Amino acid sequence: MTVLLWGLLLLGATLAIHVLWWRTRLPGNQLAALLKLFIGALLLWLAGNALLALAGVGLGGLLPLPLAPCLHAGLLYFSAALAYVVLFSTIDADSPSITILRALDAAGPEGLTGPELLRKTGMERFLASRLERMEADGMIRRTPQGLMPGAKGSALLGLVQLWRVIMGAPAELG
Amino acid sequence: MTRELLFFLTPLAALLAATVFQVVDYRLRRSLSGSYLAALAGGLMGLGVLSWILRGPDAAEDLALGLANLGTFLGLWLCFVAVVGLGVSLRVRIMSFLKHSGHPQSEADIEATFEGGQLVARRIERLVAGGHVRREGDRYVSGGTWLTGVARFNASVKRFLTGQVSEFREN
Repeated sequence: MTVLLWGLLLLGATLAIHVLWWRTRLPGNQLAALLKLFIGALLLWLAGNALLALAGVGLGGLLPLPLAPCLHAGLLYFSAALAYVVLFSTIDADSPSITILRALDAAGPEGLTGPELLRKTGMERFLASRLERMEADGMIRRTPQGLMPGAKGSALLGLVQLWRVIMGAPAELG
Repeated sequence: MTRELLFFLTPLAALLAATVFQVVDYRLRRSLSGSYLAALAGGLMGLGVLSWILRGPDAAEDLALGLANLGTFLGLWLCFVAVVGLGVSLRVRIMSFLKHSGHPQSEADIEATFEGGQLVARRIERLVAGGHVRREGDRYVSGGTWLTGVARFNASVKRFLTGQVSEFREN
């Protein structure tokens, strides 16, 4: 029961901090800030437990946890946190389908023509918007000669391609 | 301690089982969507078998650890699906184009290669084909399907967390 309770408690507390932070001041790079917050909380959890154990200090018999349950609760917390980051990324970077459906939903039974839809959603410059976001995320970098892969983007692409090789999937993406 | 440590390793072993199931299933059937389900089934099966082997005298404690491991495995599996699924993401395809072209590309080159003007039109056609959008003359109307519900939920969460509705400029 300890693992489940501490894992969920840690997740709940970190999500509460995330909501408070985002409502107070929106970070520039939201995904990076979210990852830093979740990793920071995990390190704090592990370090706090280790320090309490080393100092021989107990907090009402609740903490510190023995090594295995402490790691286990940390793993539960962190896997749920990473899953949240994945879901958050779909909220942060709008899918075009979701944006289109939102605009049509707001338009009601009258609907929209193609040009109206593009204007309402601001997706006339869909690709340009994606490129700007990729540059801000460090996926690509701008040079005087043009756009080039960034370090983060190359690493991500390498991971995707490695998995496709393992799977035996065609090299071309899509 | 050993049993606790093995319980800790159980969701990681289940994730490993899931990846093996996905590779084998994809190599046999060549269906990416089917291989995700095979991975999930294989991982859950691995989780169930290992939890059964490691069960102890306290059923309540076993149930709590089982739930913790189920949550851990599902979280890891979702991340795994997100990374594997990136092969179809526009961002990764742009990255692949930039890397394999061997030299810097202008935005105009990228627009031309990925037919920027057609991307949204193709997306609308896909939504029409899926019944999520209806075409009435020259107008598009929401089909009111479950995906519209997802769009509403997405907008609510985004507005609650960030005060924004879309990364694109909406009028």
